[in-house]
Amino acid sequence: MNHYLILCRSVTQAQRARLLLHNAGISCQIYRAPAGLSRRGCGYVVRIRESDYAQAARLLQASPIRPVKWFLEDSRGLSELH
Amino acid sequence: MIYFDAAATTFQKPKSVVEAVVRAMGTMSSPGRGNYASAGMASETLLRCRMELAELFGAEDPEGIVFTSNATHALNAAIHSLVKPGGRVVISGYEHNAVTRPLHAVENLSIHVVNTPLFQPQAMLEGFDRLVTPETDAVICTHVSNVFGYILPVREIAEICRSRKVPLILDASQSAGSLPVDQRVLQADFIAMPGHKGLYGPQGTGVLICRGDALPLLRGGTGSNSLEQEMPEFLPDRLEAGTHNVPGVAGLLAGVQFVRKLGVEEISRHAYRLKQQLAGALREEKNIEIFSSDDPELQAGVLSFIPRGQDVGAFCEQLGGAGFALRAGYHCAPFAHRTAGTVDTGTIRFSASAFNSGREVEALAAAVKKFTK
Repeated sequence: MNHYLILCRSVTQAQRARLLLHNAGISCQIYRAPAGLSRRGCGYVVRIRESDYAQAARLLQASPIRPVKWFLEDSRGLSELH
Repeated sequence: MIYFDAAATTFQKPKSVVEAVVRAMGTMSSPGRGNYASAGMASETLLRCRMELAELFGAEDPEGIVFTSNATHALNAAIHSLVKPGGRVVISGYEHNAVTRPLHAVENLSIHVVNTPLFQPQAMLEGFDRLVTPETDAVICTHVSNVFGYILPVREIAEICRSRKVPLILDASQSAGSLPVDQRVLQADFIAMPGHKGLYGPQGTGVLICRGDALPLLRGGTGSNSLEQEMPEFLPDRLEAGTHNVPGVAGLLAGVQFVRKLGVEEISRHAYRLKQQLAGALREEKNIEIFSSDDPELQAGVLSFIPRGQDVGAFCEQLGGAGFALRAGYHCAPFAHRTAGTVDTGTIRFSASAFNSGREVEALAAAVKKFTK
């Protein structure tokens, strides 16, 4: 199964994103961002199922939470969404 | 001991606060560092506390809620953000040393003080109206005098600041949790408060509510942007270097929940009733000078008094010997004493919490009368 990773600037934003998505019924977990995902070092990602992407994107767009980047995680690894 | 020094710190805490601290010490590690369960619990607790505080104080963004070690730390951070050498500030004549000492340390700072009598808000407003100009870098104002309980007209002062585009730093040390403090109304650039007074959290906690940007007072690790040497540009990380006081914040969360459950209005009414009860009793003594207003809009639950001809420290020791904990002296607020004319003697200060009762006040009044010569 593929996933999306939502890179957040801080653990506080990651927690807020998780809470928002969780309250909307979207299953999500917080992880430390894999090395190299953030040029700035030390970030957190919220991992969601691929099928939840559209709803998650809509919810975050309407919220004050600003993801740094989105990544698709599939069998080939991680690729940034543009 | 009957404790009447809530203005220094609330000694009696809700049981839930103590339990939250103990629980945190056994289950929570450092937020924003590792990603194991105990770190996650810590992160979640901090966020929950920010969200509760944002609700209580009408702050739009929980990430603008910054944890500090106390109100002094919060005020220093706010002043550091807005006040520069050679600048100009306006303050009330009732400010605490947590405001006046950081200002004193700024080189060539022009400090304008609105010195108006106690319980005369119109005179105070006229003073601010006269002194706050568009060239003013910041207004720093206490909501409630920690010595006299005088409630300053901060809503109107905030309006003066807004109309002249002058930033406002509000010291809510004596009002947070005891009086309504609403950022939606005040729109202050910073609101500073301790976690351990009217919010019933543990000592070692404080909050700075930030409306916009702030300059880091302390620099260090934040668990974010670690490859960069500049502090992160976003809050709360920008102002939260180093390891958080997680058990403290867990306790503070429980304290805020306690305040919200009881209701700020009810807490305020209770404190004012006790203050009025003591003031009424002490008025009967001709050798006690009290500083009291019968208008609940002008005075919170803090009352200062002076036993005429007796040293306030010695008198307070006698009260201590009789089992009553009050504070005597200058209360770290020499400006307030100079403004009110009590700098020669200092005062004895009574300040009640949600845990004090009318019977305790009755007993205190009897003791004061007993020791009055």
